[in-house]
Amino acid sequence: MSRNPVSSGRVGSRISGVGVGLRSQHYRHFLSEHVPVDWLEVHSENYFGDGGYDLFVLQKLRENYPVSLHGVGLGLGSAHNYRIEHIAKLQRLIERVDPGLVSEHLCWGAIAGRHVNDLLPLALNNAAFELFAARVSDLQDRLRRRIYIENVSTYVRFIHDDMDEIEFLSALVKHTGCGILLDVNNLYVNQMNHGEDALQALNRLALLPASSIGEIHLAGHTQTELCLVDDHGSCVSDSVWTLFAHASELLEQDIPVLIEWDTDIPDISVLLAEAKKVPRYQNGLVAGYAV
Amino acid sequence: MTISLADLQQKFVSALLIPDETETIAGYFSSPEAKGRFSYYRGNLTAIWNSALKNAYPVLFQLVGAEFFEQMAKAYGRAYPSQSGDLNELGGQLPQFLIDSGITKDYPYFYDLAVLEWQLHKAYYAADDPILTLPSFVSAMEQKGLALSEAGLSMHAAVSLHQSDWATVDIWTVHQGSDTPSFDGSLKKACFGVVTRPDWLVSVTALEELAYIALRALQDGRSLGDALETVLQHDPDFSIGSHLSQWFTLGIFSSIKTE
Repeated sequence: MSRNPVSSGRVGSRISGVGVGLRSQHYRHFLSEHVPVDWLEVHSENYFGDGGYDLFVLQKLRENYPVSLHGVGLGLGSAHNYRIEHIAKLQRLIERVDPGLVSEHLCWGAIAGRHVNDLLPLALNNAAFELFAARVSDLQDRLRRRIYIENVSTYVRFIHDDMDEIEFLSALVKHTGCGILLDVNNLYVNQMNHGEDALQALNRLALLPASSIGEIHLAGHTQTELCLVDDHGSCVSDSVWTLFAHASELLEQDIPVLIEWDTDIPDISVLLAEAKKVPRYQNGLVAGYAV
Repeated sequence: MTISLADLQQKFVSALLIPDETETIAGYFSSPEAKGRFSYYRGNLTAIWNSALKNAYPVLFQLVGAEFFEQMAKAYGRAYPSQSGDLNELGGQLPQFLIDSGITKDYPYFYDLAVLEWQLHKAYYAADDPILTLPSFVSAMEQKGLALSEAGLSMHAAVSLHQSDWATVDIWTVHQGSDTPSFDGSLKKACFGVVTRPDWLVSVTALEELAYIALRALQDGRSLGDALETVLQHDPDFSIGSHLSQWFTLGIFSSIKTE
């Protein structure tokens, strides 16, 4: 456990070690006792209010835990309806909680006149890259900080794609200086849904400049009749743990790792048990590489 | 068959909203399996609408049941496009939708109930204004050398007044904390209430009509003396002390306006 007190009465902002997603079902537990996690992640939009209980809890817990802000509603790849008001609320939240990391998704989520409020699959073509890179640069300029972009799981790919997701993200790092939030579960889901080689993806990500990957996500998925669905409602699968062990070998050490759980939220003890597994796979203590 | 990013995204959303248009987007997918998988995005969309509206309108959800609510959420999401990437902002036009869709023909009190639930929803996320206590108010006015009646009072950001010709406050109240609520009072009954958030807990408290009138006057910027004078003209026995005590206990006010 890293504890890094600063004069404000808060621990420092840097995230390291293993974190869990903070969900309202666990507020009481976190407020009543010290929970053995190194940091917390929240969905930024859940704390966009002018005030209220959620923000109170987050600011209270921020005294003891570094926080990562994970955006789910900006939709950087939307051709229309990129909202400056949304960024202003994100900026206000950043000022309130002094996060260690701020992330968004490689996705889009709106058309003119309508938000879809989902992480929709981006066409991976040159036009989308130009738009997305410009948006990332704009966001970084407005927030005056590095933004990390997460690879997403998708159920479809497009016929006119000019590149794969790793090529897109790597070019994004090169052109904008942004970082990557690597979701290992999403790599696995896309491998199963689209035949994209997850291990090869890790090898290519390992070639990026140092510190390009600022955070790793681990989550559960569900096998359906048609494909894998990235629903974050179960424990991390053995295959994803194995892929994570590979990632730990190939990528830099000490990348902060998050256990992510968004649906059918279980008791906090389930998340903590998952978090406890992380060092075992990071240290190569668990064999079995059948990804 | 090249297509601009904006047009591709437009077709994608059109197919989400209108299943018959799936063919128009499927031609842009890289694999035949994708057409079937596209239904997951459509399912997500309706699940998101349902979840966001259920969060904002829990009593309406209890009243109409899960199945009807889900159909209502689907129709609302199509009719009133989400205008924000923040899902907590979804649902503000549901009262109007209840009229547009004809639901209020059979359940006329649903409109006002939905208005009340949206007031409560907004209160949850309102700014953390300070709460003015009665002792602080009295002390501050004494220090200024002013009579209490000269003060105007600013309401806390989470506070709003509610008025209906239906028993909305009573209906909301019986649906708190019970799995099997029953409302056996008269639905057609004028009601007045105030939405507050003391200690983070958002709630609505029933008011007497004259108390509502006094608070409305205060909200409109009139002084405490003017507000109370108005209601005393209606009822000379209006209990100023007990009402002031209740209002301050509920955390209705945040600061004094003495201009």
